[in-house]
Amino acid sequence: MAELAEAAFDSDPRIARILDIFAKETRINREALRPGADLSDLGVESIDLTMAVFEIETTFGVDIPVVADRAGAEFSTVGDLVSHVIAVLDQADAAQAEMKAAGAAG
Amino acid sequence: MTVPRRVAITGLGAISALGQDLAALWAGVTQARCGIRPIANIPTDRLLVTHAAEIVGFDPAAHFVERRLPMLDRTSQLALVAAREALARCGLRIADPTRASVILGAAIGQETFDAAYKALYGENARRLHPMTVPRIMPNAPASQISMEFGIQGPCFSTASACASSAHAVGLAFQMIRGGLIDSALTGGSDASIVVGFLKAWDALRVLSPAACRPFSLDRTGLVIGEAAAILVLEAWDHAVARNAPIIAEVAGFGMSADAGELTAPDANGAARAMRAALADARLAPGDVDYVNAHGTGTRLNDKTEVAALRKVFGSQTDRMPISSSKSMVGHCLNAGGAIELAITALALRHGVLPPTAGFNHPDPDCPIDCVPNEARAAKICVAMSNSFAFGGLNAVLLLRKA
Repeated sequence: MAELAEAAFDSDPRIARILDIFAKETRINREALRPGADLSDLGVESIDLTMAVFEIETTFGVDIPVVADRAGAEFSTVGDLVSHVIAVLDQADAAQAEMKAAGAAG
Repeated sequence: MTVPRRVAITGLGAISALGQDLAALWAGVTQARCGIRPIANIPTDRLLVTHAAEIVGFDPAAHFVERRLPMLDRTSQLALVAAREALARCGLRIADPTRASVILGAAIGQETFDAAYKALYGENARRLHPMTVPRIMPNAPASQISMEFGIQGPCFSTASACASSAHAVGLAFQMIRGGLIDSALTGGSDASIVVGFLKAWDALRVLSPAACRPFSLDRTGLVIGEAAAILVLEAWDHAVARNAPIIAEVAGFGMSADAGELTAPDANGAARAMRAALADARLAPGDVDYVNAHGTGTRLNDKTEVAALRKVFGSQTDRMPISSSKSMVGHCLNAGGAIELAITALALRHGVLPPTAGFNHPDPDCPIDCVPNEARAAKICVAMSNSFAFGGLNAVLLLRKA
């Protein structure tokens, strides 16, 4: 999983939205959500984490695939979760751009 | 060997078609009020049968905070409401949570199940809500009660269709009697009035188009009901020591299996369960003053149940009051045994025989005193509650006046 730059946490508007949703669903102080913050140290309950992912899917209109080799304990830090989601969003954007280009060419 | 302990019922809570608490249930029963009416909570255009004993006007938001609701199917909501009432009424403070239990009749989250598959197959939903599994699981009501009240002893759910909650209460009774636990929240919850499940019942050809008239010559079948009923059972000495109000004593529990037909009741199997309960309670048939019958209102059940009663009680069957509460609360499936036992306990407590509502004409196949259409004052000391399930699984509980 790609390491997330601290700076991106404060500059990427998509990350801001992800963290807003995460904070709401887990009832954890938004300020505490730094890339290296450990989910169990933060006291994130697994059910709240699941609900947060569901809400992120709903907000961005994407399916977030399960990290297969770590199903049931996919993310250990806030950064893990955010970088997984960002990778999915980037992939979706790329797919959309490709479709647009194909449409323009046709 | 330890001496068997006596077991007291110290708390009751209920939500049913007769109203949203125990007082409403008992008021309805004593007035012979029928909770069966046209279905209001779901669309009925695809159903053959459009009546049920529904709980009307239940507002989940009035009972649960917003964050908790996504975790709770209606089945669990009803169970929690009844459990809160039962505990509040008896004032039990659980001193040692590892010696307290929750044992309920297993009931899947039908509303969630139905909505999820409608969304998936009917509306091509891309995904389902992440709480779908924890809402549907048949132990969800028991788990939710355990979590809400911090109960940490043996907690589980029993599955025997329409006898599930009677088996649950029976097991809780045995575990307290045997000294394994000191108290239990037991009973059941059922919220099965959803399109898919009622459609399945339509196909079984046992549903009545409108009324449920057990033991009446013009009976036309059973009517599905929804309810939750939770009983607090305590070791007798435990209850006495804390000056708890004792509603009734659980005196005996009997079980049997027909090992016969899948959906047809068997008088021998039912009679064996009744005899087992009497033997368990060390009571004779002549000691029993009232029977709260399984009494579904199908031609076959009622006739077979009366035949079974005759095997056990002989000519006493002709004069002993035997009524069916399903005429008022409907057939509450996994909660049926529990709500009927709650009614039976209140009958002993108040000295009132619950009626069979909607009774029109005596049936030569069922020549009994079914307490037709009006509750009746009577001195009763011992009462039996029968539950006979599809699959031939029978559970009979005996209560004694406290």
